[in-house]
Amino acid sequence: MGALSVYPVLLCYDLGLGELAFRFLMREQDALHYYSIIALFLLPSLAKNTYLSENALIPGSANPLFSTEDGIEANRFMKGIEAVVGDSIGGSGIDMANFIAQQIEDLGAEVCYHRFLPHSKHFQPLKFFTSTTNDMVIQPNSTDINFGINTIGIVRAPRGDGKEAIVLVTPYNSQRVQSNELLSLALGFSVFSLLSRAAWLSKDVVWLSADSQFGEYAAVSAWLNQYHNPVFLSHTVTLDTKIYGANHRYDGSSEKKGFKSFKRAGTMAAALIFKVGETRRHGDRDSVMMYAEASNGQMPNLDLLNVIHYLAVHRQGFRVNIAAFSSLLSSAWLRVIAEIFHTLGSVLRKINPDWKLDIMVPDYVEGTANLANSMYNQALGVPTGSHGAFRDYQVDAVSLEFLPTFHVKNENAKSLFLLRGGRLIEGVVRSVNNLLEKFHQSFFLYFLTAPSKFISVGVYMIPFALLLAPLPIVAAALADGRSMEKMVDLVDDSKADGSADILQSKSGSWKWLQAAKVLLVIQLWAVLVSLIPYYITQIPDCTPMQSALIWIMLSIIILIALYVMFGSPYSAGVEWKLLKATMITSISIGLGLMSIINFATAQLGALIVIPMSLFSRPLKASGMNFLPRAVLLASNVALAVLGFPPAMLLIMKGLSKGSWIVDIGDFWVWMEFLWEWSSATYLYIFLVHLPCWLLCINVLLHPCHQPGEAKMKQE
Amino acid sequence: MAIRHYWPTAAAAVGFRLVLVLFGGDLHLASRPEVSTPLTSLRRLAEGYWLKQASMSPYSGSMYHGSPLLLSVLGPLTNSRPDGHHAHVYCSLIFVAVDFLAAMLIRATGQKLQTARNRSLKSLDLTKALSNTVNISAGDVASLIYLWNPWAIVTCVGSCTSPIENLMVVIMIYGACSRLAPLAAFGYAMATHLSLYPAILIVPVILLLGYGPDAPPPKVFLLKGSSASKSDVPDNDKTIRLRGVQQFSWKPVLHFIFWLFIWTCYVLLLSSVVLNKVGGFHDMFEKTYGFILTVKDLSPNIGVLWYFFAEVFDFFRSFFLIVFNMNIIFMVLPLAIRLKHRPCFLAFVYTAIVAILKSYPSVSYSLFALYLGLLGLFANELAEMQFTFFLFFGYIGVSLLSPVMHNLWIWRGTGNANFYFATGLAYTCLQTVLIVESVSSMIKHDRKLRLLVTS
Repeated sequence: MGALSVYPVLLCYDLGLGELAFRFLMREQDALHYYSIIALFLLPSLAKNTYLSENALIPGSANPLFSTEDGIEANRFMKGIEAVVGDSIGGSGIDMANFIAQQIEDLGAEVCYHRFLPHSKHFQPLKFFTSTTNDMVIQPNSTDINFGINTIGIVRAPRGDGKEAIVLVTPYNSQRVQSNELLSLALGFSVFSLLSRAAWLSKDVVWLSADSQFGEYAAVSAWLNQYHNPVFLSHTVTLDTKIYGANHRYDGSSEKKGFKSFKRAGTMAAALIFKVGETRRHGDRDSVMMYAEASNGQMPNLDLLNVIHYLAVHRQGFRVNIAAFSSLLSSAWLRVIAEIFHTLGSVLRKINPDWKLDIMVPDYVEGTANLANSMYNQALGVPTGSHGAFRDYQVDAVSLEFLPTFHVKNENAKSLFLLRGGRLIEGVVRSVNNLLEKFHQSFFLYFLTAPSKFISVGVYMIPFALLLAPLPIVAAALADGRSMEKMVDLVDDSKADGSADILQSKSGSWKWLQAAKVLLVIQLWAVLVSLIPYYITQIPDCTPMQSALIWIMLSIIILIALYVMFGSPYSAGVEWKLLKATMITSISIGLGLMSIINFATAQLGALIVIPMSLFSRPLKASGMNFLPRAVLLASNVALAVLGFPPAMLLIMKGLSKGSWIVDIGDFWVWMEFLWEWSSATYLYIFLVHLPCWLLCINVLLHPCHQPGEAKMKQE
Repeated sequence: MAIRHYWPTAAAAVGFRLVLVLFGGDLHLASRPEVSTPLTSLRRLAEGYWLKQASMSPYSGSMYHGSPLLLSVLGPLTNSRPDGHHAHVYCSLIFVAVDFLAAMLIRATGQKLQTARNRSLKSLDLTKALSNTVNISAGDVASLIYLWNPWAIVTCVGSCTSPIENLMVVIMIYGACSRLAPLAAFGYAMATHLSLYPAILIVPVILLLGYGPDAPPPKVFLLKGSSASKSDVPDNDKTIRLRGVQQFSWKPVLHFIFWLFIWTCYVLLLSSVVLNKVGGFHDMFEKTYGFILTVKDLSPNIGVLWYFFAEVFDFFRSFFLIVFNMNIIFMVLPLAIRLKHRPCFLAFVYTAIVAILKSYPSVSYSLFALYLGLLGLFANELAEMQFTFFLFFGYIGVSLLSPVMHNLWIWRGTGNANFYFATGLAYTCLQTVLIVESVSSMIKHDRKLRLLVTS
């Protein structure tokens, strides 16, 4: 099929359609940018309803077994743990862990502890790409006082082979215990106790009550790291038995030694993180917030979200929400756009009833707010919760935050809530339990516009493709150094006297080498700039402001040094058109790469980088009328300012918070946030965006008196 | 026109490699499918060496598929592991030296080609006509491309044995260019022993030994001779010009064949000494040449065969094995006829074709590392090549895309095999464009010379 599809293309080429397309793209390169923005705003109306792809999941097919007795069990657990928290004054962490472990043991399930240290800050921008996550597990030794304890309970499946597991996570802060966290622990325990009696389980169930005193993510990722990277060294085994000294206080007997060592179940099929949030006063129904974005825009398989949404809405009567940009919900301009799209959509609907683009105005506004948040979180590349830690091990995971509308003291409402929440989690576990393979049927690449509406990769690629389409063509036209009309003339000439054309030595085909050299020097600079923070972080007691200043100073010094070593871009006499051609090519490579790693970053980045590069033209270049030239100059300067990362950050901050105070330290803090989470966005900013910006500045300041230029004018 | 700062740049390249080897830490390059193949992986070599030390055949199991000679040369070095360095630091140091040697030989070959080119242009009276075009020292360019090629550096640092294979190919071409039959025969015997595919380079080597280095086509000399005979030029001068047309001389070719026989026997003898008591020739040929020809390992690499043979029905397998292996042979004769006056360029084209069609390609074997270096040898002739901008950035784009796609497929789980295969396909297309463009611009160059002579 692939080979066959070449023929229509060749045919089109023969008919001159290729040339037409070329001319069209050359003429429309600016317009395509607007089309792509329009397409971007159309996305909410193009969102489809989610559907279950994997038939094995059959959510809600079995009656839930979670009954009021389990609710009572949860209440008993909650009373018990409240008593433990009340009794202990200082470090309630160990006591709570011991209580949970005791309860799990009473159920007949296996139990173990996991001690971990808080995550230290590291400069690790490349961690995402170094495929193996085999960091050595850092074990806390006896001198550390400040450590967290996770308690892990494991139910072995009566019908399984122990090769797969489902993970339930309930985070709680052992240092500052709150009643809603205790409620989520109780919910987790009651579901776990039900599952320990279930005869239908074919996958092991792991319940991790994660000590979130250093953050949820740190606890879960430390546990996952140890789970996936067993230590085989002989001396650490002896260490291991000493390490879990915490439970010596619990029973002190040596017969329970086996129960302290780290325990594992099979590979994880899915993970569900749930917690009960603060009580919400408004709203008629209890609702569930769903968080799914993991590091670098990775999402869990859509089927997992579908199962949760289906069970929560259609079985247990929860309202399911996803995070949204609340400022967009009330914005007037978005409402106007929504009205326009609605009117256009209803006109189109009359033309063809199959075009269902007439989305209702509130739906559109909400969809846009959700979509904007979804895109922003994916583009940032930082996980929105501890499910991100699972995704690093290719486990599909999602965080649920229950938002009850009742007060915690209200026993009636609480037991009803426990019943519904327990049934929801049981149903999800039951569905995942049915799976025979990894989640693979549904989408991995999507944006959510509502809990039950998504935009798949095939649709959201369109605005990006529209943005990217003119780049290779413009680059080719610029690299060739002749306009289309002249090329056609040349072809005609060469037909007339072919031999003369051969004799006429062009030697122009390697002229771009100088421009490529400039590009390589600037890329080298960018790599060095992106690595400097590693050394700056080694300086002790450095305020963000100082660090940022050192960073900027070093960058400028390195740039000057490189220009001295390899010659400045203008000394070699590079034509600005070639410089622009190499810049555009490098951008299309960079954006293409980034769109694969993290699409949202590429999409948002392209909106700035592409106009900046396409409009760039030397300030001194002549050959245009006054008005267009002035407009072009102004837009050039504006885009160059907008394209500088710190300036952009300032503008973003100003728009979102309304404070326009210049603080360079903010930039450092922001970057630190990105590299700590090993977000690819950091690499994008420094290896794609920054070199492009510098090249753009180089083009803008180009002196424009080249011998080649002069020759061309003579022709 | 010599390259400014040649030696500092070359030294910087070597220094850069040394820094990466000594202080780069473990970069995990050896596990990258782009860098090491089942044939060249140093980890497999260490395994083979271990088996041999345990008095077993190094070819037992399916780990090792390389030459027995490499086992005894590099094997002992894989055993010792100095503190604070990655496992194969000694081998990598050897590869740095090997790369430098190869670069120097490429430079010497380039100088030989340059002198030959200048001589033939002089005999055609074309030095003035071509003086306005670029005239750079091709050897310097080629060796610098080889030294600074990122993929050559990655290969050198990434613990795989392909730098040695590359060196053997370069030795062969250098020996043939300078008409040193024993050296050329040594290079040929070793290169063929190590990876089989250089066997087809026998055509350019014999042409090089017979006719001498690249020259304009004989027709041009004949035209020059006839145009000169029309005018009144002394007979003496005419004979000098006609001498530009090289006659095929059999003597170095026979020398070469004699030495080839000796070297082949010697290599086989050494192999049998190494394999003494632990294995026989049958085992060796089956696990090296047989492994190459029957494409048994279908783990992903940057080529296209793994995907194809993973998909193909079993009963068609033998047929397609024959088709794909014959594909290389099919190209040999037509190209040899068309380019027989430029044997060195012919060697480059063959290497590039092998790089596309070989069963376990990596960036290290001839692919990027070697043939881009060889391409530099023809910098003057290919000055008017088309699509160079597209090719350059295409190569950069594909070589960045390929690891990302691999990561997406193997580690993230959000991609699939087609993602990675697509980059392999794109890469093969780029190579095809490169070969087609370079051959056509070389032919165009020859036509230009002819037109210059007649006008």
